[in-house]
Amino acid sequence: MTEIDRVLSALPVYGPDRTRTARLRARCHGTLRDRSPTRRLEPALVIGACVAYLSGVIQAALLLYGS
Amino acid sequence: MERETELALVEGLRGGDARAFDAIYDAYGARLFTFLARLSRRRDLAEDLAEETWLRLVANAPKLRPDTRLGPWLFAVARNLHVSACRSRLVEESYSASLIGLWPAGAARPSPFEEASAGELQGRLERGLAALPAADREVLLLVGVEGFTPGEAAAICGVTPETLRQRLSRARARLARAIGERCDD
Repeated sequence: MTEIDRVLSALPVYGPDRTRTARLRARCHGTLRDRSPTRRLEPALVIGACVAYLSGVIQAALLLYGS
Repeated sequence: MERETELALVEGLRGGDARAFDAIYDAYGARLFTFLARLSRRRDLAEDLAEETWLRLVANAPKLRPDTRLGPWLFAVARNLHVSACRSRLVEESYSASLIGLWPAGAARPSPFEEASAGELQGRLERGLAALPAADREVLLLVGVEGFTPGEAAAICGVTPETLRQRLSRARARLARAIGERCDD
């Protein structure tokens, strides 16, 4: 490590605006929630459940009125 | 950051874990912002670019490779965003040498950067860094301040390790000269 690097490494670290940081965290959490694999499966599960329910209804209707 | 911890955080992020994001933000948030503030010499731009970097991280979270090195990834994105901002907004050209500082020109009060730079050497360093060309400044910030290896810094800047070594050597000499000249003032 050179002398320049030594003094550079001692420079302080600063923080971004706290309000903005809180907003950013919330936004990132939201994006992560929306993009998580579980979340992405949810629509498929709901559609699957609906299809199963409708199939059951149609089957019951056919049994009742079909003969 | 320990490599094992980093791998676990990447795994958590890929799975959409907000706590993993928070841990990564706690580790890199201030460092990334400070890097961008010194690189751009503008707090408002640094905040915008840092925010965009974090949004890109979460947007790309599911696609991250399990062995992703978070530091180089984040700093490469931040650095590229700064390059794009300079190209599109002509940031570098908009600054007069006489107004060089780490805060927006014309700020009504001393910036926290200036207040914190009370130490003489530190103040000279900050001014010396700010006066360097952006290409020199970024390699010094990455290697000298952030502690990346020259190889990692080369990958972040998108240049060969040899090019980076030459740039680093030139930047160190320029900064030393700038600090020395200011000492003589």
